[in-house]
Amino acid sequence: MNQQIKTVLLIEDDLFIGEMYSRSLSREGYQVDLIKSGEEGLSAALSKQYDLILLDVMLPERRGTEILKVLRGDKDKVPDSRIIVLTNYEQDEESKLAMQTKADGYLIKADITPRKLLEIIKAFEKFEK
Amino acid sequence: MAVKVSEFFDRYRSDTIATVMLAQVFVSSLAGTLAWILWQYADVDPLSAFTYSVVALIILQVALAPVLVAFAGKPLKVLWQAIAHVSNDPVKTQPPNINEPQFERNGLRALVQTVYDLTVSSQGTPAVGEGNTAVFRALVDGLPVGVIALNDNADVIYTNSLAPAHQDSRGKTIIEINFEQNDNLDTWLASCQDKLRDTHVWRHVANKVPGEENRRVFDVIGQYRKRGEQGVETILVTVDRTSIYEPEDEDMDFIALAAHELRGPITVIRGYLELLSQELPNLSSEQQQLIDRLQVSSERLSGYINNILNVSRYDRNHLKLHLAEDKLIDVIKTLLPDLALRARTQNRKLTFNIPDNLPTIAADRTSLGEVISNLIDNAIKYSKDGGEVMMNAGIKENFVEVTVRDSGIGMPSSVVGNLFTRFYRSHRSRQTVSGTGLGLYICKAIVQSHGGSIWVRSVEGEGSTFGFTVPIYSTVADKLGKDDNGNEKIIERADGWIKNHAMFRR
Repeated sequence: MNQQIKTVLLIEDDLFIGEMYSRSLSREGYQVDLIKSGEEGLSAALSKQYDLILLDVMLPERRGTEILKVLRGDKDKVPDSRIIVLTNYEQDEESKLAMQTKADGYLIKADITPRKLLEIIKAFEKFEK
Repeated sequence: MAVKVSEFFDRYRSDTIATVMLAQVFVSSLAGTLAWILWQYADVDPLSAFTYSVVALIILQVALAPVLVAFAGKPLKVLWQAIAHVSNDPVKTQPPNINEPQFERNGLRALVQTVYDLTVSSQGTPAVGEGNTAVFRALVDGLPVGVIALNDNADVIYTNSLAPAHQDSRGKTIIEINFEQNDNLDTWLASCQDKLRDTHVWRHVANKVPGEENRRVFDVIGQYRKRGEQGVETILVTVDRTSIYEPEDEDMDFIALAAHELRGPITVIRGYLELLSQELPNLSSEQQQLIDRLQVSSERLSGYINNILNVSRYDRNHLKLHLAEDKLIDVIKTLLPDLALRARTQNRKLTFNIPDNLPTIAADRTSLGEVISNLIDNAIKYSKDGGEVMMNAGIKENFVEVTVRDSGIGMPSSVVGNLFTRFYRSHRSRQTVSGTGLGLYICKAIVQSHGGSIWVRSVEGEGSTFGFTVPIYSTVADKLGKDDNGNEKIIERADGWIKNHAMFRR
């Protein structure tokens, strides 16, 4: 069964980047919640069910990697969400491997534009959940 | 004359038999004599005299028994005293004085001396008495290295205080070392199965991923002995080298960190340019050209930043490629919009001539994309306004060969040899064209890491052709099979990866 993505949680502390993705996603009809700190981002992810979580790594309070550990650690606390890690600080091999077991995607922000992100989200909807 | 250990028992047996027989004969004669005296002188009738004699014989035998046992058991007693002495037995016994001449004569001295010698030579082994175990534990805990012992089931059975390990919720001890994927503890232990003993060294392995607190970096030495003593089959010794490795890592990360910083602003510039061009639909063609030029420039800047990052990784041996089956045309397709815009804004004609029936290649899509992008960027840079840049591909032995040809300024042959060197740029181009001088250096590194080669042919004033090869997938598939576990579930993109859930989840 294909799953439509409607609600998006965007955890991003950089105001420019956050508003850039949020603006582009909203224009395409997605409902976007933009949250700027790791701590609040985590509680938002746990309190409301989102179809997609876009997760920055270098966040204040709590790193994206820690949030990922909480959400997809021993137990998958967000089984109905897709998580895409967005970063500009490329991880070393071991962290990348650790992320592959937990996240559904890993993208370098500098290498994608808002349009490419939309294409990727559309591609996600085609994959069976 | 001293008696040797080997002669002891024969001597002991004959001595003892002789002594016991002598004693028996003496006691029997005594009893016989008593009967004769009673019959002859005390006027006792023969039957009564015989009866008294038997009774006397029994009494004498009973009295003699402890003396005989003490005599025959003497060597046993001395040995017992000696063994009790060396085993720290709490029973209060004096060690036998083996220097007495009688011990030397009957061979006991040699026997006891052997016991003492054996004890001295085996004092290095653990678990001889409680006192030694405590000393041993204090010793291992006080070592400036971590010590982890595993049994034949690869379960942890001992860790000392510095060992990087913790207990999980079920009480199982977990070793906290992130080994490399292809060189870990399990692969080594598996390779030990048909060996009796083996040693293996891992360098620069950490307990945590970079950035986490209390990260330590170790050198680890593993020693394997099949059916080792006390159930210890594998011993791992961890040497904490954080103070040596960490500053090195930090130094080398500086360039990477600086380049990473540049990515933030470039993300914003590229993104907002795209948003602007989408939200301003009624631009004049001239205005659109300005936006396009900005977009192309920001993309090139982004490419240069990636070049710097790749060189930094390559020089630190951190550039890791994940080769997978891919189609050249698919790699090009992901780059096409950017490349086409780049050619159009700079007024170059970009053409591709890629045959449909090319076999699949073994490629790391991100890195190969960077090679193509760099070569086309160069071709555009060094060709004339309105010139043509053409990309061709074909089969060459076990490889697919890709060429990028421009009709530009070309290079003298003196320059060609240095082209793939770091920071090299031709004298003339330094004044006219911008660039980091890293592009071709990293192209060569990436192509060679794929197992291919890169070359250039150039005629001054007529243009240059750059070519590179990448292996055809079927020629290397068997070599790639091993590390490729699970990779087909991951879709590699030029800008990261996403999971294909159709295959990934149930």
